[in-house]
Amino acid sequence: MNKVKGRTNKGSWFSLVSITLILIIWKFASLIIDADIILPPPEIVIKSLINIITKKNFSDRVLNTLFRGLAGFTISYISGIILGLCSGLSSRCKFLLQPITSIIRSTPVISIILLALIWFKNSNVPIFVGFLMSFPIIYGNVVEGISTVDKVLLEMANIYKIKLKTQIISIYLPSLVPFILAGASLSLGVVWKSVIAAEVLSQPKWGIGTSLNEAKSFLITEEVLAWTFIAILLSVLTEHLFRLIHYLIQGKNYGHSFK
Amino acid sequence: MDIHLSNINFKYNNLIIFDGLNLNIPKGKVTAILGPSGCGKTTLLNLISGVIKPDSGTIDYPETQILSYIFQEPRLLPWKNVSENINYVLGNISRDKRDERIHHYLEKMELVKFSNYYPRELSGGMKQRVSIARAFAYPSNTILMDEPFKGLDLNLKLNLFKLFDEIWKEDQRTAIFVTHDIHEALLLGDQIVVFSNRPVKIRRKFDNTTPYNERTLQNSSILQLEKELYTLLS
Repeated sequence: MNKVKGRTNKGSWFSLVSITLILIIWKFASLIIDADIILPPPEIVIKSLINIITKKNFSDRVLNTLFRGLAGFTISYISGIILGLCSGLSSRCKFLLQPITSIIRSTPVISIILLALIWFKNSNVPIFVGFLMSFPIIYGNVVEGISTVDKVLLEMANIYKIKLKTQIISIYLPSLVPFILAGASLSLGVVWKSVIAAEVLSQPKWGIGTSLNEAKSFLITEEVLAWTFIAILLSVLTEHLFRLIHYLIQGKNYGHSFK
Repeated sequence: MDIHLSNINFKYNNLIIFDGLNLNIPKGKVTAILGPSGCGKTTLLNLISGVIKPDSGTIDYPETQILSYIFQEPRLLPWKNVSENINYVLGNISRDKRDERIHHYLEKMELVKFSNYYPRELSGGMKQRVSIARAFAYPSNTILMDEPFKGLDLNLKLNLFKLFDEIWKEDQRTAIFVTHDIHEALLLGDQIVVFSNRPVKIRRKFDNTTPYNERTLQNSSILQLEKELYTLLS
């Protein structure tokens, strides 16, 4: 136990070393370039970050992006699970959805954003884009998960005349938890990236993307970097929160942790 | 009413498994099907349970046949505890009667203390006991058993046989028990049907008239039957 703990501590030291190295290189690079407009030094970015956070409309900007991201994610999460289950249970449904998911997967994000700009109200564009980018990930994971569901348990349930609805709730869904969890944490990262990119182009009133674009327009590079840092933080925090929620649900309902 | 299979033909990937099989499974008795591994014993259970259909021939069932199954592996849901696993198959029984039923069969299988345990916390033998409790708690009139004692050590097996007999004689459901182990067939089967290799023919049928509580491997009639079975199979 101690050995493992020691190893983990050693590991986190390395992360700290890496962060310090980045800051040192960054500082030196900014000294060499000597133009804040191209690469401002870390302390200016930190100052700008504090400035942004203390401004009174900071929460409006972040909460709007948070809402859009979570809305897109929730829609894709629910529809991904439902449609994934349909495809996993019926090959017709799978073949029906295959071209659609393939198209979404291989369409460039920018094309989706531009089309959404034509089709939707500005503030809804990021939600749509976030949904479309994360849907294939959750959907794909659910379909893959279904193929790994223990066939002998299904055979048992059929012999004991368990209804399909009960089988879905009691056999399919619990077996899918690790796949849904993996798909969700993968897609959360994609959601924030695409939502913010969509905000940059669609310019809703409040949003991290809108703020990024404003900073870029006025060539305030330290603000671009500060907002980027906020976006990274948002992504990391929501992913951790999501893992925690899933962990709690899993532990409570299934009495054991999955592989 | 007995289960009666007449003139059953069944092919699997051009492999003839049954070629005109006739078999009568008497009501309220344990029929042991003894045969070499892979000869088609599980296929017989699948035919009886209706999971697969014969190419030709008929299977006559009692009018209200309800089946339960004890599989080779326990097949318990890993995310449900022992009583939840049994409760899972009791959807047709009213809620207030379910707990009583679960408790009764757990008691019979000496599992009451473990009702809140998850399968991963149980030994192989205990899991199989849960599987047996589940099969009996399910309101069936026929029980199919596919080598449920395979891989368990002898002591555990003998103890399980005892528990099985106690639970079985309560309502004497028709049981079809597939095995490749002569001793299991001798100790549990009221009727022992010996299968040949594919295509399956019934080599012989034995009636095991020794009452259950006298069936030991030292009993003279059991020994005599054992000798006959060995002669037939060697």
